[in-house]
Amino acid sequence: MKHQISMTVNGAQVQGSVDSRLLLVHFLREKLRLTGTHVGCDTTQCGACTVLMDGRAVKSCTVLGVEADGAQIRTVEGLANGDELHPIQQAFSEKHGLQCGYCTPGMMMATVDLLQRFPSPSRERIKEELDGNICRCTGYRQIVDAIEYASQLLDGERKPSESGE
Amino acid sequence: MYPAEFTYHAPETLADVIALLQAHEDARVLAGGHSLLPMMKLRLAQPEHLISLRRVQELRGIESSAGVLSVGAMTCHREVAFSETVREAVPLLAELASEIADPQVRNRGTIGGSIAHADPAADYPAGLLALDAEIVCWSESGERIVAAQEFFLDMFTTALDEQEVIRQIRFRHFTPTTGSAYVKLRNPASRFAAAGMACVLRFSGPSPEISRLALTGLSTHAFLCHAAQDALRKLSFDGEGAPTDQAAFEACCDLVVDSVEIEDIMNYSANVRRQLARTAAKRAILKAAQRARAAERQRRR
Repeated sequence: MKHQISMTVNGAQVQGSVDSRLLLVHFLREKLRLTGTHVGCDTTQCGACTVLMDGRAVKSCTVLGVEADGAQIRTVEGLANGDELHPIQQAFSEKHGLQCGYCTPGMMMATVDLLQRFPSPSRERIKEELDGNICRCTGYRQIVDAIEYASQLLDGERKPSESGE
Repeated sequence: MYPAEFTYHAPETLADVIALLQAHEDARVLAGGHSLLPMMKLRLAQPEHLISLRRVQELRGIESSAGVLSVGAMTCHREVAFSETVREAVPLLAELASEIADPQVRNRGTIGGSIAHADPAADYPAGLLALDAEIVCWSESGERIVAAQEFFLDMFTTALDEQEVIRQIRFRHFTPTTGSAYVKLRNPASRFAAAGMACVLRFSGPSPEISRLALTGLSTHAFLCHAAQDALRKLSFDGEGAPTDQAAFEACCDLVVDSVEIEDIMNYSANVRRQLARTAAKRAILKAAQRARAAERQRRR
């Protein structure tokens, strides 16, 4: 059964005719060709599919497209402002918060929500709030470094380093 | 990977939800979807009809009046965890909600969905039992109130009728000197409760006059630990909330799994599960006792 859905994705109105059972992650990846959002598991655990839905981080593999009708969606493609990286992206880059990069979009979108709720999080708080995101490469330390640094950039405490150190 | 085909409905009123449940025999209700959709993606559930609650405004909202906190069934865990109203009226609920799953799941999962699904390791059932909550159910015949103690019957089985939905859950406000805690010992992979203990205490002098202990993750459903509750009321606690007789306190914690048959499961032997239950109980009781005594001190100022 097909449904007409419409939503705002990264600020732009989009529409689609979708099966009831189409998952939001597949709508984003396959209908909208926004492939930055990843599918990493089958069990709602890994968080690689994390996007913002009405400002809150959700696992898009566990949301039906039809449930997102009328919603505001932000994906990793919506972080940068043209050529200008979002501070979170800048932080992940400078602090080497990734290796293979598969979990990274999900990590960064979860970070947006995290820093909204906890603008100056402790490292302990960051680790707790990353409970919904799994990384198989890094061992998480650089990810926590990146998020801590991102909170400082967003606070205006620090400026991104030009040399990337 | 993705669910089997189904027909999707998004009604706007409770009456329409009930009508759809009556019209379609193989229908499931969809709340936050973070228990049901994972099952459907694995094809463990294949309902022909899915009735979404996302538009039903009658199921939303947190209200507090006349000493009663009412939480709409479609309230998500994040909202309960961060609500000032909940934190003031029934702090155990906010603490428990903040422990469920992970932040992303908490942005979608709902209290109604959680208790209707009744996973044996779900957190909310323990909280509802410890808080002696009331579950407001709705069907064609109107409202039916079920006490938490009568609601959780078996694994994934509740007192909800087939054509009934949960509308709201009601809690009595804490009194000023009530202390509480929810302690969750998680399975490291699934993040579900290997043992989750909800404790509510209020002292009258050295001993608790109110003692409620509810455990999840150990049995087919969450349960009240009656033997341990009774034993707890006979114990003495000092002004900081520490038990005066350590041996008696340990014996009380041993009693939490007295009433149920604990089985070996895939990750944990029965012995390990019993130990986890004891540890969760010990930590929860001590925390609740400290908080109750702190609340008493606060009151005296």
